Amino acid sequence: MADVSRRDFIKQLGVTVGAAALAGPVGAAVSAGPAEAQSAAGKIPDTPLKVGQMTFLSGPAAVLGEPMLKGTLLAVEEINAAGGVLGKRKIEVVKADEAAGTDANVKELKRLKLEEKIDFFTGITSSGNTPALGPVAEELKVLTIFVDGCTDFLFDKAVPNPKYVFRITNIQSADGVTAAIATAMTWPHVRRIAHIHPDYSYGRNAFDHTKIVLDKMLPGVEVVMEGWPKLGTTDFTAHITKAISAKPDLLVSSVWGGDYIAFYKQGLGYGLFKQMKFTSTIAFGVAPHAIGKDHPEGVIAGVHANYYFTYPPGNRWPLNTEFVKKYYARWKEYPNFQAEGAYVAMQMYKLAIERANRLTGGWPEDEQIIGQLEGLGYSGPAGYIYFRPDNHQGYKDAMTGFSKNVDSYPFQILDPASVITIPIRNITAPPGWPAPALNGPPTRTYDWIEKTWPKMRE
Amino acid sequence: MRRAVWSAVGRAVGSIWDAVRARPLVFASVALAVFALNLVLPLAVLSFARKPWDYFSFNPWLSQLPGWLASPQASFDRKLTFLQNVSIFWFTASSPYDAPEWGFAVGLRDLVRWAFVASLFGAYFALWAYARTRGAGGQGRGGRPGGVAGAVLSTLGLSTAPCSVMGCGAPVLPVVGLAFQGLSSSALVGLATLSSVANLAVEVGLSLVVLVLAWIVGRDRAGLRASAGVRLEGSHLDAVPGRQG
Repeated sequence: MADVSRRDFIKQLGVTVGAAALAGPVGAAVSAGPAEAQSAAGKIPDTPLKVGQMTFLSGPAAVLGEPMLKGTLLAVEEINAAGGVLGKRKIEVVKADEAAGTDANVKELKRLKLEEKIDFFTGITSSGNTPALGPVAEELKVLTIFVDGCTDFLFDKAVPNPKYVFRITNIQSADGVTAAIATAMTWPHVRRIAHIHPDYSYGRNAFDHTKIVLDKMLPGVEVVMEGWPKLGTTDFTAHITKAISAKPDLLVSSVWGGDYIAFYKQGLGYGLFKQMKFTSTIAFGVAPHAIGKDHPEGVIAGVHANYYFTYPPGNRWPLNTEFVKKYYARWKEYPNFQAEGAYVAMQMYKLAIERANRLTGGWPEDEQIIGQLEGLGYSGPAGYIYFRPDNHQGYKDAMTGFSKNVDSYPFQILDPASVITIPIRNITAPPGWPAPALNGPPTRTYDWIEKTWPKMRE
Repeated sequence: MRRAVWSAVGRAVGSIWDAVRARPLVFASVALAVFALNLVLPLAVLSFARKPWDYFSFNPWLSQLPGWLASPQASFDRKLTFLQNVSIFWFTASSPYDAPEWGFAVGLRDLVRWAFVASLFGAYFALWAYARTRGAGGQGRGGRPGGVAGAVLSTLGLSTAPCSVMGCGAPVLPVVGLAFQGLSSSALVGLATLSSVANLAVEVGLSLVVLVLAWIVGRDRAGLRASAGVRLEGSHLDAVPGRQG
């Protein structure tokens, strides 16, 4: 493998800091925004358009689910206020609580389709539920856009040719890769790395991808400590003291939600953040307003590599400014990545209907809407997103940034002036990259990075 | 030399076939039990160590599999890859968080592997029973060590069998890796490697044990037949007038 300098490689990746411009959609011929609507062609029924929305409305994952529902409802209210889809069909949302358990959720999806006769299904947070609901949605022919529930299992092992099912969530491997690239750019001299991750698939995934990228980008790097607290842990004392005693240069973590609030507050008590650099994949990703002003400044505070409401900032990207304004006005809080994803899912569904209507006239069949969704590019609050036709997965550029206190918010935010963005196509395995063998590399992207990225010199 | 090896393999295969035909109940019950153990053991370990599953499903998409395989929409390579990975059914234990407590998925490759290992065990016990009743196999003197070795290898293989987790891009973790939380990444890599090695050892080791046992049974049967023939021949000779005294 050629000897490449880290600086040159970062340039090749297309990494930008404080991005002056947003990258265009990859592979999408046209990218449309929410203002594309024209008058409808043909006869449109005025019956309600029924949308099933399922997410966590109770329990600890409601911190993810509630913003998702709010994002959906905001989009629906906007569409209805403008006269409905194609100016005629008002959307009616049928809600369901994902916390009921997988078995109950599958029954509920069947009920929604067969009894409520929904036209479209969206939502879903848990990666245990998408593999159960995805094949059922295909079987029942329910047009679906999952907002989250990211797992390779769905399209690798359950449904190889999704027709009715799409997924808008971020690419999971991007979390670890983005955090590691940002770390290598910001603190190229760190060598001794400690890790604290929740002991479940997300934490393991974040560890694997952070490690493989740091191994490539920072020669001589070593893992000096690992802590794997159980998901839902509120006492991190043992892990924090173990990390401090390992004397690392850097601590990497993917602890999230309420767990993260407990973690950082306990870390402050031990002076953790004064003794080492800190990189998180998701610290600021869940509930922006939950992060206190006491949170350490200047740390890499990831947002699930996905979206943060302060970026793109100001008048640089009016779509975000408007979205944040509307969301705050409606819900008295700021949106997170789940809210943005749910909002965009509804808007892309509406856009696909409008485009199909222009081609065929009248209310389009699901197959015609699907034809428009495949390869559809859309300009949303976070930037450009498109659905790859081969796997129905939404792709948008990855981002992370640095924590900062500003007077204009009562909580700490991600500094919009130093946000790091990376084109998603440059940090994920390309289409056609083979699935890794059983007990082999954890993901396609891991395998691709391991085999194709050079070891870098200073 | 090559002919001798093929002859020995042929004799062993013939013995296995004879043993399975002679002891179909032993073969079927052992094979079924081992096959079931492959499924039940991981579920039992995970249910005990974490929480019982609350969802089971056959992959509903499988009804579309024949049509997809016949259609030109995917390349041959893609179809082959998917067939190797496709999940036939799975169990999950729900969690209040964004991922299941655990998931255990069984694919086509798992079923083929389980069926193969189960058949080996079935053949081994059928041979053993057959040899005992026929007085071949040195009254089981070659069987006991082989059985113990097979059992040890099997237990090792089963306890570290890979378990598909339905998480966010999750790696395939060994059951024991899922069962006990807080293991370091190197411990997990070690368990995954052990799982691969143990599974290979079960398959190769047990195949060899069965072949050797079958060869011994075949050899002893041949020896018995030969000695029975000599005795018979001797009795004829004994009857020949003028040979006495």
